[in-house]
Amino acid sequence: MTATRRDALPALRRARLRRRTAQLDLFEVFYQVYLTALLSGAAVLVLSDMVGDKPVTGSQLEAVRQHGPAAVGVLIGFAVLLGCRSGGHGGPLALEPPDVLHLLLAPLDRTEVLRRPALGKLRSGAGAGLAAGAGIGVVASHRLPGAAPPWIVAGALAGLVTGLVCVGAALVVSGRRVGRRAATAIGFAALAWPIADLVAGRTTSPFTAAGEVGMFPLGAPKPLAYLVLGIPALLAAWGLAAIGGLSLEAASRRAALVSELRFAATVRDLRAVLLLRRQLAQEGPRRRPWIRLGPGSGRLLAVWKRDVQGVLRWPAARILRALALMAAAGVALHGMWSGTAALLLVAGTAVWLVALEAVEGFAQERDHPDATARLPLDGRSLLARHLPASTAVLLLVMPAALAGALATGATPIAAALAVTAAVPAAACAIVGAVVTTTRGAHLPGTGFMADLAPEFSGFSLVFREAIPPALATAGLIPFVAAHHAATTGGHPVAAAAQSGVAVLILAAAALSVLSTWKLT
Amino acid sequence: MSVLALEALTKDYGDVRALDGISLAVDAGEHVALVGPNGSGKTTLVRLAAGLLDPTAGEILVLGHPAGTLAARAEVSFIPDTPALYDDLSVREHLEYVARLHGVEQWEDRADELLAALGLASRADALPSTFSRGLRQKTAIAVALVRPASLLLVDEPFVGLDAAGRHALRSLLADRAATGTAVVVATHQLDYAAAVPRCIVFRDGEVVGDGPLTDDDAGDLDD
Repeated sequence: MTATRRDALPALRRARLRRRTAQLDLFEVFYQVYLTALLSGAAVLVLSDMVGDKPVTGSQLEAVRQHGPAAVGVLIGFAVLLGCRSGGHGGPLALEPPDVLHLLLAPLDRTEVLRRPALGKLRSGAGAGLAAGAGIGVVASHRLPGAAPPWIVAGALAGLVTGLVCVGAALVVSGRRVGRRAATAIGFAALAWPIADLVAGRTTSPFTAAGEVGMFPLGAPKPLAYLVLGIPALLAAWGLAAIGGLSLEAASRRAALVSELRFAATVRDLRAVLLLRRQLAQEGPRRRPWIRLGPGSGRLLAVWKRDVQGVLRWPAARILRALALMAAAGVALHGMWSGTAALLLVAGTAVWLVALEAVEGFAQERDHPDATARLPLDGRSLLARHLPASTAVLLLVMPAALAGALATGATPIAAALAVTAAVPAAACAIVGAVVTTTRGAHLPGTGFMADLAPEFSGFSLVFREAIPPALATAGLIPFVAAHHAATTGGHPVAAAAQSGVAVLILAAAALSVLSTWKLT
Repeated sequence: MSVLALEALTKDYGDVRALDGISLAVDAGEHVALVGPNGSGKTTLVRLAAGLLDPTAGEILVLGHPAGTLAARAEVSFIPDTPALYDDLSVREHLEYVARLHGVEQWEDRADELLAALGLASRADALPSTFSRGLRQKTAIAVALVRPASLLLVDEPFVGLDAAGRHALRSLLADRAATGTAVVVATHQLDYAAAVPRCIVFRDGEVVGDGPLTDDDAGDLDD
């Protein structure tokens, strides 16, 4: 590389930094930092309060000792799966379109050019893992034996490993140009191994061994387990060495989509984020539906059939994701039942995410308001006709939640509760997803809180973003009522049924408010 | 040796075949237009030659080097159909950056000539993020032409350009071909295609015509 070429890149970075600094609004930056700190502090306080200080019982502690390392290993394996999937689609780097065109098409060593952004990704992954792990360590210290500092260190260590293996795996897969299917297969193998350990109660996978290190406040891990901590470093080094082999085809596709995705995320247009994420993951509808429907007739069931046809074209990845999210919701609900109330929020969010997929027919109608307006039908009535199919889809995948709960030790009463609470939960989640889809992008000075003073814009924004998952979480209140009944000598299923009626009324009320919103 | 050589080149996007076993060569100083209906494979060919896509089968060589390799990249300049520019670099900073990336030491005079020819001289220090589509396209053209290249690949360059811009671009492309650069332009502008010595007609991923554009070809493409 000549001196001119070598100098060009730092010179560009200096010029861009100079311009960005000149354009920076310091007041805006400080305001964002203040808001983030305020909300993060509030979140930690609320979560700590919800988790509570009640120590786990002897049998629960024994279960944590026996299965905790493998459970952490499953999380690490899942991070590897995510990394492999991202790498299979050309991730984790998200370059700007002009970088692909000017930088990667220049006669420069791509490994050298991409080292800096790859290091940045590794730093972000490690930092996010470290922070999240430390936070989980704080939460764990409330209920598990041992002081907070060792739990924070253990959590941070496990988080660091998780973040690094995720980004490292993605860098290796994209740099080595491993195909999407092969990458997914490797990722699932990485996940299956600690799951097998979890089921068998043994440590055979390196991720379970890393989990032992992450649980060290409960007992010293085997010395060999510490060796496993070298894996993330090796993976990261391999990724940095291989990243020059990145496919430009994938890089340019990602570059175009990621800039749109960032903009959509900036204006908090979740529908656009969802669509762009699908494009990024090349998750298009199947050309051949799973089942081909015969011709129908009449207007009455036209919308129902259109929605069912759409669902029958869901790619396998979307079906698996919906089932996995539902299973996670079931696991979280069981965790809530066992004493960690904060997990109700996790379950609600998971159900809301599945509902976002389930309202696809409704959402597409909203995406094309002009086409809807040309139909000889009332627009609101047309939109409402999409909701039964969406609810049916959600109900169809809900058994996965029951399976998740049962797999983690829920008692058979969970089945009766699931049947009782399924419809209210689905209704609320669908209404939450409809709110997300209907409101579109957040534009400053718009919306129902537009008249508030600018100082309250941060809070109004949080309120706006929190409503849909909060609605989905409210749909799970029957489980809370059932738990309360079970601990106070009442009948859980009857309590769930009674509160289920209230939840259905809430969903109907929210829907009636929605029906007053402008359609375009 | 041909500047651009394709041998049984095939490109699939999933189940869709965009190029189907194409073989052709473009020599130094040739000025070639690629024409054909939407989806016929023109852009795919240009992006394959630029190294932005990987072939499914076959070979694509730039001066004997596989497209996309370091040696090939040094010989190729590419103007995409959508200008890809940095939001926070001025027009002149773009030209300097790309020239320096390609090891061009004396780039200022060439940059001034290009900016004048494309009517961008008064906007040299402006940010392209504030430009219209046409001005951004002119900037992208200047960026691609500021450095020497053996092969100039251009995809739909006339979109968004005003009459003066179209005229300037035609002159610049012809000048490049006259100085020995192989110029390959994918376009729907049949008047431009009729004016260049060689026109390769694509349909459904195959070459169905190669030579000066005939009235029959033009009629088919109009249909």
